[in-house]
Amino acid sequence: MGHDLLTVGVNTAVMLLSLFLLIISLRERKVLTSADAWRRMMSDESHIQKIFLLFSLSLLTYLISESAELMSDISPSISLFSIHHYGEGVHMFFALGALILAVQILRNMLEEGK
Amino acid sequence: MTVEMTSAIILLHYTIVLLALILSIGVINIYYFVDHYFIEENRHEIYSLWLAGMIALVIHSSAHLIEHLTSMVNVYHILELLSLIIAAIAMLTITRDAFTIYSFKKTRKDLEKRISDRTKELEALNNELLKEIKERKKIEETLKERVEELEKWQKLTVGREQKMAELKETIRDLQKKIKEQ
Repeated sequence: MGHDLLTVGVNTAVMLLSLFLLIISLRERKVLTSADAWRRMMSDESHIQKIFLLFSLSLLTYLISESAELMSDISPSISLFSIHHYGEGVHMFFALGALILAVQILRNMLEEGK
Repeated sequence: MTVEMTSAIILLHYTIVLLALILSIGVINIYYFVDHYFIEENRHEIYSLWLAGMIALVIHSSAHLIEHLTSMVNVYHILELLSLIIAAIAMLTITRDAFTIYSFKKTRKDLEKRISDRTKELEALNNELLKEIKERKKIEETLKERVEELEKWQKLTVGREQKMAELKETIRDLQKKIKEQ
């Protein structure tokens, strides 16, 4: 039950944060695609790498989780559903980390652009 | 659950795993070659990728929430698949663009390397030729000196021969005079 609550919490946070970032990105399209904003973003390349590292980890855990679900579907005698459930939680947790880092970059791009 | 339904779910999971694999490889690839993908000319495509990623995440997290909070399994599966398809298309587009730019850069780099190698080769050849010309000049000078020396010797030898002939003539004259006396 606690695990479920945590997963729901993480998923809600990811959904709201990504929705917020999507709206901001669409509203500030011109600033974000300008050459100046690009240069500001690229001033810290390691930050972008960290985001992609977190997304890679997120996708890898997702891959493991989905493979576990698939295995459980193919042969019902092997129950790997717990891996699937925990994997999904961890996968969204990494995605949330990546989004928090992305917020920092976006804020930097928008603040200096004003 | 019917056999058809089970098969459909297995097929769906296969598709999801395949898409997740493509996405993982794509993201790891971008992580390692971030400087190939994140170039200024590509900034509009990166922005589109970002938007697609955010849309995919919104749909994906909604799908998970639906899975946890409701019993609409079909909606969950459809949304999950949709989010993965969006992300995979965006990823493949950006990867294709980046590969085009990367191959263009690589070709340019190769050409530059070939030009630089050829220039170095030509420089080495030029240096060798200059060295050879220098050596030949040196040999020519030595030969000239030898010729001059030989000419000098020849002059000396020819002069001596002439002198000898004159001396012989004088001796002959003198011998003739002595005989006449």
